[in-house]
Amino acid sequence: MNRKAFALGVAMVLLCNLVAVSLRSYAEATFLKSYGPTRLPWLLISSAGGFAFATFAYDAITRRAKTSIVDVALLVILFIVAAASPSLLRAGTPPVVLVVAVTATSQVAGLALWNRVAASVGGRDARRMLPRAGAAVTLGGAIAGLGAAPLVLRVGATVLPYVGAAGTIAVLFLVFAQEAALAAHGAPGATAPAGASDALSPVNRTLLRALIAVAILEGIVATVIDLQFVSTLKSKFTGDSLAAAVTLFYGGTNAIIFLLQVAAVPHILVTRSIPTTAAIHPLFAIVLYAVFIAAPSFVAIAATRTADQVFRLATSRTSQELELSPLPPNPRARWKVLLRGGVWPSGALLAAFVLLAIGPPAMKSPDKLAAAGVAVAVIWFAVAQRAARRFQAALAAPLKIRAHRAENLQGLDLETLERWSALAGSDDLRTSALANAALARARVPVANLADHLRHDEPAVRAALFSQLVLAPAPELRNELRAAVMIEDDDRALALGLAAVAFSADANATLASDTKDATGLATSGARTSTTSMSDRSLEQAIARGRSRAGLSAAVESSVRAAECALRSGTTDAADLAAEVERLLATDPPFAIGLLRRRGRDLDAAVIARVLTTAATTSRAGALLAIARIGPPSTLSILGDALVAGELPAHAAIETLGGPGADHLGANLHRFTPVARTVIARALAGAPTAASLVGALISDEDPDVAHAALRTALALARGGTLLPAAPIAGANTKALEALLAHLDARDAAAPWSATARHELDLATRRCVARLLWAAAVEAAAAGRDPATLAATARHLTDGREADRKRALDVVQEHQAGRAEILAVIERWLQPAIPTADTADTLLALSLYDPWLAELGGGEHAALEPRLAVLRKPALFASVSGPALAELATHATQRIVTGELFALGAAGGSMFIVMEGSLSATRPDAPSRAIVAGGVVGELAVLTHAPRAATVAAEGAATVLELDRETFAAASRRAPELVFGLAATLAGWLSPERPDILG
Amino acid sequence: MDLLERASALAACRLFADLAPAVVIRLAERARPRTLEPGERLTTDDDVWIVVDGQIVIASTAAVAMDATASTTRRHGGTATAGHALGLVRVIAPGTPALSALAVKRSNVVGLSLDDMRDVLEEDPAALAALADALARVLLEGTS
Repeated sequence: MNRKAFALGVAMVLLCNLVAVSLRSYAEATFLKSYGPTRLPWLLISSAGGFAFATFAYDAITRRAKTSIVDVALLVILFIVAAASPSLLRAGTPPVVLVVAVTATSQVAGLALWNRVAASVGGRDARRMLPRAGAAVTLGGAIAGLGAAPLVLRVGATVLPYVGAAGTIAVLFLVFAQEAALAAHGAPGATAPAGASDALSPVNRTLLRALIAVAILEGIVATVIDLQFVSTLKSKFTGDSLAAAVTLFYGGTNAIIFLLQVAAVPHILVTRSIPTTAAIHPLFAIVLYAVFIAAPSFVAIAATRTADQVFRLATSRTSQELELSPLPPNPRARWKVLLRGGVWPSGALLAAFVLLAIGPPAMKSPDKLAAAGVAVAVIWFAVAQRAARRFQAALAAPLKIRAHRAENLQGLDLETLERWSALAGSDDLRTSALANAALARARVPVANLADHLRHDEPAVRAALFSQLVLAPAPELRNELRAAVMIEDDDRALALGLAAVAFSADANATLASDTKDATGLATSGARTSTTSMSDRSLEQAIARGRSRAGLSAAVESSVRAAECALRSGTTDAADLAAEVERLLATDPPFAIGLLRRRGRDLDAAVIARVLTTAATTSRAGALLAIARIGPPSTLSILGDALVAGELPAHAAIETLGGPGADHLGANLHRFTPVARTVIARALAGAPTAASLVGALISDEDPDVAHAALRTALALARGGTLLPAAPIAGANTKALEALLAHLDARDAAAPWSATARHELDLATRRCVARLLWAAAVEAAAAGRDPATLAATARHLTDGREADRKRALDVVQEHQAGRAEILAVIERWLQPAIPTADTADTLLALSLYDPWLAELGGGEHAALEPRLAVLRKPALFASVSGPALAELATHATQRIVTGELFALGAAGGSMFIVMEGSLSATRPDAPSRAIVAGGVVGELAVLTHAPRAATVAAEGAATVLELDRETFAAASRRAPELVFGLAATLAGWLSPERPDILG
Repeated sequence: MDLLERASALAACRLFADLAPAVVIRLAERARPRTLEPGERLTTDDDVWIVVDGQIVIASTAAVAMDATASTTRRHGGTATAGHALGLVRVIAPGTPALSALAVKRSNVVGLSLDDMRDVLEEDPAALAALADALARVLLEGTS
């Protein structure tokens, strides 16, 4: 920001508007005195037409001549017009000519000078400072209006043009001074980035078209309101009192605008999105005009016109200012003038001609005219909203952020459902797995499955029964039993029986005497004592029994179903044995059986069964522990998760609601690392939202970070997350970032390594805060993708991208001013303070490891941390994860060959001191200095060494083996990304464009 | 193309073969299909493209064509057919130059924005590891 140029510019536009209001009041009063009511539309036509003509002429001239010279010439013309007005009128010049001349020159001069103020301030400073400049413009109008009224009543209206002429001379001096200041200290608001073009991108052109439409509609509404107001004014005042009334009105209006611009508008512009700001003006116009329709009066129309004028300057012009900001500087300045001076008056002119064509009837039915005005204002509101949305798109476009419209997977049509179900039963395992994953993600309402339970294709029926095993649906039990009773495919029948067992009432039981009966006959004999529901259950199981001898799968299912449905009749040992058998053969059935009959077993017995199964049938045991495991078994799952066992991940990724509730109640039994792994694995479990909700409030920052990432993934997939944890996560993320920023202010005594870690941790906090905001946006039904993508630009981007990203955040977050304030504080330099102890204490609540590092407790580890941070591979890993790597790394001194080409290897090496030399056949040797990495390929791919590496003299290296790296990457997946990126860079000469 | 068709198209690419089905579905949710007529161009500025069917030939931008590196030869005339990915290296190495390609016959492709792709991979470390591993294998084989 060029402060001197801005201050001079503010004085310049203040005086210019003082001149403009003085002259306009004089011209309008003269017109009103001279002509009757039928000529009123001509007042509007002349002022709007003059303004538009002068603006287009100014645009045409400035495209050929130097703008600064044209501006000075314009001010000279304004001086001449002002000074000569009284003489010209006395000489017989028609007042309408005076209106045209005064309005055109003074308003175009105002627009031209405004561009000079805007040139002195750029970026987010513009949001804060330009409304203040706008306030100065308004103050000029208020002074002119309120000051001129007593002057007119005492001396006469003729004094006004002389006041205007004198003011114009002062403005001319200020123009020269401000131009010098801009030349000396730069014009940040008018400087395009190097290499930038003045050509408008398609998204900018779309935005501009919308802004043109908004300006035209705004001009039409303003003209209709103006006509009704001026007409009423003329009927109430005459002579110099009319001139005084006009000046007082302008003065009062400007005074209100001034107050708003000083007190509210800057706050609105840095806290609210443009759709909100741009809605204020049309909404006020609609509401107040509607009041006028209901109760026509001078007060009502005066209030409507006042609101129109106030909000036009206070919110619509400032919105337009910001909406033009994505355009390159030159087109931006040009279109600012054209929209305000050419397009808006064109709309006004159009309305005035229409009113003229209608003639006196228009004024005889003020309510009908106002109703027409309201109708146009409603359209104006809608178009203004569209323009605001286009502005948001244009703002995000340079950051390559695109809005993502989530596919509606909540209500699949039956045809798609049938097709997917058929594919879910496909013999091709990959196709079947994808279809099942799609069905799980789509969360097909269970009721929609009912129509397909008797599908012609047995594979489809099997897939549907499988869905009902995973998500039992008691409401479908009758349809399910009916389908199972006629099922003739063994695989489908086995799955159907499981589904029947799990969908039965908690109290439903099979009669013990039917165990060996023939089903239907037995059931028939029991009709007098059993309900229809019990009979259908018996008949469904009987269908299984009738086929059990033909299929092992059916036999197994019948046995398990009978066990599940014979509460109290099976002894505990048999039940435990059955569970153990099913954990190996059919884990979902085992889980269902335990859920149904768990009360018949001791917790200690269940724990013993699951612990035993963890060695014999690990996948099934882990699946069961995740869903129903007693507390004593949870450590098995926790250890498996930390060790990266795939079945453990699968157990989490397939969690449903009840399983999520079970783990949620036992989260405190898992270590932070295990909780982090759980949080990450839940990205594939859309029905486990309650568990994600619990994890995003976790006290461990890494857990909360991972859980928020997952919450975002679920939100983008359309999963609804519980509101309370989201709000809590927002608050906590905000507090964590504040604690980090306070620590930054007090970090002067910290070591360089600790300060660097603080910087990285703070970036993670910013990302976490934005993810929380994105999840909140998703919960409110808005697209979270833009906010999520912005987090990357804010934390990784260039300075210019960061500031633009902050604007994007403002446009997309839900009116949380505190988020913007704290992110803006982060973007500003630290303000050093000495309050180290308190800030460390506060920091320890959110990032205990970092607080310890800042307090010097990990001084011994710092050299390793500093070295590990140098390669891109470890650049974005969280501090605690890096510390873990540093702790487990082995420090070695190498004096000769480290490894040879073609040798097997399982470690990578980071150079701490000295240098290494890598030699490959047919390639020049490569020196690896401190911070460089060698051997990373072996860690990722198990490939043999691709070069011979030896120390040049003696070198100190840190050795990281594959297991250590794998363990760390489970906690910090950025490591894998970093390693892949390193690998891609390493292979850059052969980097292919087509892969597959 | 519906979600499952997009997912199947992605899964047909060898690089996505080891991804969990749920991850492929999540990628497919963000993917968008596009049909290219012969002569129509696409770029990898902001997107990764998986070829579903047809034939696409790399026709780099002028700036890239002047780049006399070893990869230049790969940038002219390299042909992508069903199951091939264009621009995938840019997901993990954003500094890799973008390319433009022309459809030589009517081709169907599925596009994923780089941001979306990175989001999904960051959400799921296992997916990231699987893709990185597959990518490493393909890179080591020098497939082009």
